[in-house]
Amino acid sequence: MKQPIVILISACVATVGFVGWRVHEMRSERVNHFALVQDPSRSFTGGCASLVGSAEAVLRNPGVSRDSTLTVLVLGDDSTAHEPQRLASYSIPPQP
Amino acid sequence: MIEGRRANGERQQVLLQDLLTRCESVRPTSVSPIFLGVKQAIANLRAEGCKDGSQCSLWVSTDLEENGVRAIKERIDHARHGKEPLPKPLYNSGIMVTFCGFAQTAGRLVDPSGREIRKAVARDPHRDDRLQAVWRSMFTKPELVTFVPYCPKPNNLQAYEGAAAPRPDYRALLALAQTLGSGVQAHAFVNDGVRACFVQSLRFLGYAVVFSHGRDVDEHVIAKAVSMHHCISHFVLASGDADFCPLVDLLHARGIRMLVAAVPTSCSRSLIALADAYAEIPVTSRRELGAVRQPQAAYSESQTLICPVSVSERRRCWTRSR
Repeated sequence: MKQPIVILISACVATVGFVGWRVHEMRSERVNHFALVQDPSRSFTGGCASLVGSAEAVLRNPGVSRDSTLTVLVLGDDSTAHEPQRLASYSIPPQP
Repeated sequence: MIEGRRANGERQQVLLQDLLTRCESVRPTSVSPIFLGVKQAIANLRAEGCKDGSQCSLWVSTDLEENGVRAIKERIDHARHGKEPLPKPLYNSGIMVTFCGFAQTAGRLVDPSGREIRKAVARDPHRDDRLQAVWRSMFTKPELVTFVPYCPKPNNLQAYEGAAAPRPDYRALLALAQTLGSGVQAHAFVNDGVRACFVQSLRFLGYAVVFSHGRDVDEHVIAKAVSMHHCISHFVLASGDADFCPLVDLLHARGIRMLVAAVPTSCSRSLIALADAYAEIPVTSRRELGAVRQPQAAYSESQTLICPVSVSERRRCWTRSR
């Protein structure tokens, strides 16, 4: 009579412990984020190819996880008081 | 599992296509406030959740020639201590910063019309070292800052360019002009590098194609507009370039009504303000265009000019044009 109860309690404790561990891990999971800054000035000859190439490098980064984001800024000019403008913001698809 | 991998690959491709399209809509500038851009990018990464132990990453595509913060420019130019104090170093713990493309710089700076604005400072190994030293000193964790002379090359840029990104719908543009008047002359100004099939398709749609042997077509657009000013009542300019503002003023002085059709993200506000009317340029996807596809560099410099004229005056105009 005592043995099944002990087994039941042990199973419950193990289950609760496992669920708690997973919840803790999920909450403390580190999410890395990424940003690109593009210089559209006439002195920089890299153009949009450099931005796309950099984006590809980011997508290949091993630190990318499910909730990672990619924000793309473009440098400002007199019309924006030199403040950069946000060109786009994406949630990064996991690596294929 | 295989489907999932393929779907993620497709999503990444869509992301890169979208990024390329947005990037191409950005107008070139004459200033490089790099420090402010990097500062805001780091602030944004912090807001997203990057902390000290994170492995966040920031890529900056630039030639490092700062001209927004005078103190940094002074240090880069003279190597000695400048008069103005440098800004406070950026707190980049947990953020890897990569500057790429510092060797991708122009020797001479030109404006959109191809006129030389100024010559860039000639580079030598000392200046390259100084650029890196100054920028490294602008971070609290310089060991997390790296410099790459050339930015990574995209694996398949042509595939992204060939995607179904929106492109001007030249047929719809012509139809838009035809709503303003009965006699319409349409001119497409194209520069070197445009494919023959694209030129043929423009002619097929009813455009007179004018070639500009060089990067810039603005002068040809202005010359054509001036030559036709006496016989047109409306003028549709498919361009967002602020360099056309004086042309708008000129045509207004002649009593000609101006319609500007352009991509909203790359249209000058002053041009919109000057025009009598503004319309978003009709767009289509490249897939719809079928075989019609032109190099991107050519598209970015191409302008389309449409001049509606009244029926009674059309004959006179065409006779004079000849």
